[in-house]
Amino acid sequence: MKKLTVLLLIVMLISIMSFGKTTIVFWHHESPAHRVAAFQKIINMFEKENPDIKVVQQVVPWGDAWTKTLAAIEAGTTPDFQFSIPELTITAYQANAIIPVDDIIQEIDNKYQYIKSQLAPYKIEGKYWGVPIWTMPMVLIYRPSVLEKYLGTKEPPKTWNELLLAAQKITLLSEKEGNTIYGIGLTAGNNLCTQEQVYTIMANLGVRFFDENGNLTFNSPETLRAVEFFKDLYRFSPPGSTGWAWGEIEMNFSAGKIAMMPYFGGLQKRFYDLGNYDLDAVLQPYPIDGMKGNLIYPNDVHIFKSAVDKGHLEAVKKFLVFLMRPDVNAILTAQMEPGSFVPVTKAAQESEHYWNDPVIKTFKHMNEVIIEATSYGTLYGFETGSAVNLAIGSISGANVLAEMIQNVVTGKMGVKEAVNWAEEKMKSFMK
Amino acid sequence: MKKYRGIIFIIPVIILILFIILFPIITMLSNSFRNVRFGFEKNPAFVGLKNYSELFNDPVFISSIGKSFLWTFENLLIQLSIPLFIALLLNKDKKFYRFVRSIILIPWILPMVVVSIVWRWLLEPNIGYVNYLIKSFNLPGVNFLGSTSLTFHILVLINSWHFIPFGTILMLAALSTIPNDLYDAAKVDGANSFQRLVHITFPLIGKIVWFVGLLAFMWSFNTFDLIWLTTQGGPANSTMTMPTYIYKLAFKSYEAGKASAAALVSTLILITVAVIYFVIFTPKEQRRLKIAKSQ
Repeated sequence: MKKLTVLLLIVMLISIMSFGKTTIVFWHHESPAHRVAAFQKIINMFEKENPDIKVVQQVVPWGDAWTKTLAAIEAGTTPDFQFSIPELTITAYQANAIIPVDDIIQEIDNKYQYIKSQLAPYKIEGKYWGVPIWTMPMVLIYRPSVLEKYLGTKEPPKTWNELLLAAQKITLLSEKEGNTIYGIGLTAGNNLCTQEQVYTIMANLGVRFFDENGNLTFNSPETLRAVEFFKDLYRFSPPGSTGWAWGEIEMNFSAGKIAMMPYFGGLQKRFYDLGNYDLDAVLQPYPIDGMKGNLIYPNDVHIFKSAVDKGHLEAVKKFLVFLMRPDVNAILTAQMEPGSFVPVTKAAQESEHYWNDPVIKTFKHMNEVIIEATSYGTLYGFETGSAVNLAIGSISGANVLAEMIQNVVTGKMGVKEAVNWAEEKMKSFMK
Repeated sequence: MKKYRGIIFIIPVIILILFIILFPIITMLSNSFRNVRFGFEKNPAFVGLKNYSELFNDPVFISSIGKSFLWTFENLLIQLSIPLFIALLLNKDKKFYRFVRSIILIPWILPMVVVSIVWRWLLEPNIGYVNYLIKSFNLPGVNFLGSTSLTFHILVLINSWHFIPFGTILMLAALSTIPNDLYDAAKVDGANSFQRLVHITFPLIGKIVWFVGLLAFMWSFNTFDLIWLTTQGGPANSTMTMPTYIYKLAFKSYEAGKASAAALVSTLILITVAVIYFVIFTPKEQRRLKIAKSQ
């Protein structure tokens, strides 16, 4: 009886304490345990500063993100907000399930200054529908020791010609020695990794998927040239990469089988843990008549209409602005995935909280390059500064770029035929 | 009332079956005639046979049908012959054979996600163990999962590797039902081991082989996880079977209407083949029994 009374008292106490609290729920797709822990760390900090708001994180793995989001929209069971990428935000926008976030963007911009290139994928019909939280720029990462051994210099290539020659020289010289190190790491698997690498090369020639009016402009001399260059470069990439995804290319690079590759900076954490510091980065080399350019993948948060219906909007806004505070943003970026997740505001990029992270500090030059790359970056389909054609969500989801590259490197199609095929495929999504 | 008691008891089960089998098929049929994109529109437009006509004009879909049949054929060939061979080898009541019978189940227990990842690593051309072995004999490395001509067959082997233990256990169960007296009698009559295999073993395990064949057919035709987790239908659509194609349409391109049409075509193919299989390949003994019962 005594136990029961105590239990009842505890339950009543908890009920009284939680009365008047707003509980906001968000979905994210970062299932590794350390990422979930980082989110929880931020939530705990926020709840300490805002005792009237309770924040609940729910993990939906990336593989289920689209199906679960659409199912929740259909069933009316969406969370208050969700971590996302441009394609998913477009999907939620097309499903008429999210609200514009211009006021939040404005507030964050005033406080911390957004890097403008990161906002483009979230601008649809003059309004912003996602709040960029961090970004993922692709740069040319390399093993300085391999360059020094086979090229006689630690200086990485800066132009396309230099890159091709360097890749060739490293591959052939190491092959002669009986232990082939491939000059370049390119994947041609039917996946996002391939799309991101090929787009990084396309960005060096300013390839645009659409014009300002949303008309398809993919099949251009620039695209043909970029695909031709990818094909040339691919000769010095490891065999079998038509079946590769993220895991294989990372393992090959870490095992010292690849000298250079267009990639995200996230491998620095693995190198740091292994005590291997033979890693650096440079901006993606570009042709002499080309331009600095690379892929960026800004990740955002979009707010569902259900947050408004439940009266949670103010609490959500408060949390999002809190996320962008430089000390908090450093947890989301430097602590969660150093080098891969990169701040999107000037204040966070310059913050000592970011640069004092031990991994970021160890690979300082590499991270300076990565930060610089955020200013030059673009994302396929959003080159004009906003989302001009929403078919880009389906085009990206269907891995059209990756399939095009597979067709080229397996010899199934010539470059012209493959680019034509890709454009036709893209048109079919625009119908 | 007593007369209807049986029917009353069976109604909940019938409702359940209708709900879990008929309802999805009807929904699929209805979606295949509409421009469905899940979550995007509440009332998708009726488009008649447009989804079907687009499908049959898509060379990737046509080739995916052929690939599905080839996939099933190659899998059946391996999944019926090797389990039988292994079962015949292991059909001895000794400690060693009992031990081997237990451990061969390991591949079957492994989830397909694990199988896919393990094989991806083993077959990786540069740092994978299989190529390491090949290269140690001074042979050139093999591009197992990135080749338009080889990858399909490699995936068949992996899929069969996963199924073989289960098939073996079923075959062993069938072999254990054959009375030893029959073999003894045949020996007395002067039958050698090959004759005993052909005239006693094969006819008596026919039913189980038939059953394993049916299971292997259904599972092989519907294989999705292994292909998706290793190649996603690539390289250059060389491993794009119907289930992979359907998934890609529905969840990567969001064309759920067209995916429903493709799924319906796939269902019809499966039903047709299953009916043919039942009619042609049902063991004679069972057919005779059925005929006798009907008379």
